[in-house]
Amino acid sequence: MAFSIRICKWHGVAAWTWDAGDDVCGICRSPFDGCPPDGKYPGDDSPVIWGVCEHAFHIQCINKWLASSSEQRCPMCRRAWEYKSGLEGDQPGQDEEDRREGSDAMEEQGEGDQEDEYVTDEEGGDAMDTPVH
Amino acid sequence: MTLDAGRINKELKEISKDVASGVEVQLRGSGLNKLVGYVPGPKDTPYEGGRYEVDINLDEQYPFVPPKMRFVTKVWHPNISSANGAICLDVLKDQWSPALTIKTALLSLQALLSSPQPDDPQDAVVAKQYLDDRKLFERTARHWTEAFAIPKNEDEVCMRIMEMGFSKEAAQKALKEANGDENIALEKLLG
Ligand SMILES: [Zn+2]
Ligand SMILES: [Zn+2]
Repeated sequence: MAFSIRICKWHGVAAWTWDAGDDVCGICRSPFDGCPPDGKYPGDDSPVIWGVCEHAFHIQCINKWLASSSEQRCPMCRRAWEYKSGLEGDQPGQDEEDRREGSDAMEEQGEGDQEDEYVTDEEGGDAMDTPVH
Repeated sequence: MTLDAGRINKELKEISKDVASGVEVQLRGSGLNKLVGYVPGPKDTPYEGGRYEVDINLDEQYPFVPPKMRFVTKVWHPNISSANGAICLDVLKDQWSPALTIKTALLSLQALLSSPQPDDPQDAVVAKQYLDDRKLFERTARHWTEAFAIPKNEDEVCMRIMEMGFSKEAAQKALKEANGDENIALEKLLG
């Protein structure tokens, strides 16, 4: 029972992440797979972050807004801003790290068994939280 | 920090595509930080038929701070200074959000023209008149609209409509049917 619920959640989040490609950040109006004004490279450098209200922004954009306003509110719905927690594996820091490790592993393939093993371990860990889709 | 040119250009493009809303925005010069907006006076208000010019200045921190807006066209309204056009409106102050845009701010100004908020006035004299003698307020506001906000030169309005791709005959006919109201004429032509 619990197992099937977790699968649903995983699929929902994954779909959101990929569909967000056509969507734009409500702050800078750039696509989520593109650069925010302060980002140098699309993708790894400008992760997308969700609030508990399900509104998403580039991390640079929402952080700049929270730093510049006295009330910490979502720009879209004005609810108190709270980062959505990483239960579904979309917690920003973790996400960024995963992606960096992923690209490192691709660039440095065959450089050492140790790192490959580490990456494999990480993937194993993920699979426990979020069942294979 | 420099001006977010990408976002401002996207906004300008979006506004230029949207004729239906009635608000317009143009660059004042070569820079992206100085703009001019036009807000049509709402129907069934003393401001009907007016075309209100709004001075827009964008700070380098925009959209993290609101655009600075001021009425250039003189207007008699409790929340707009009759002396200098300064505006008292929450979304241009503490209720601003970076998800709002120049267009939504101009539409908020149009909504403000429709529904004055005399409890939070910018112009105390106008607000007092609004509360004490509504009929006199409406007459004064209408007088100011006719004196300052309604385009005088019919040819100028006609030219603007022609710039949107309509023939002179069609523009003149639509304007006549709309009693000279540019927006109603445009609605007729576009509808
Ligand atoms: Zn953004
Ligand atoms: Zn929200």
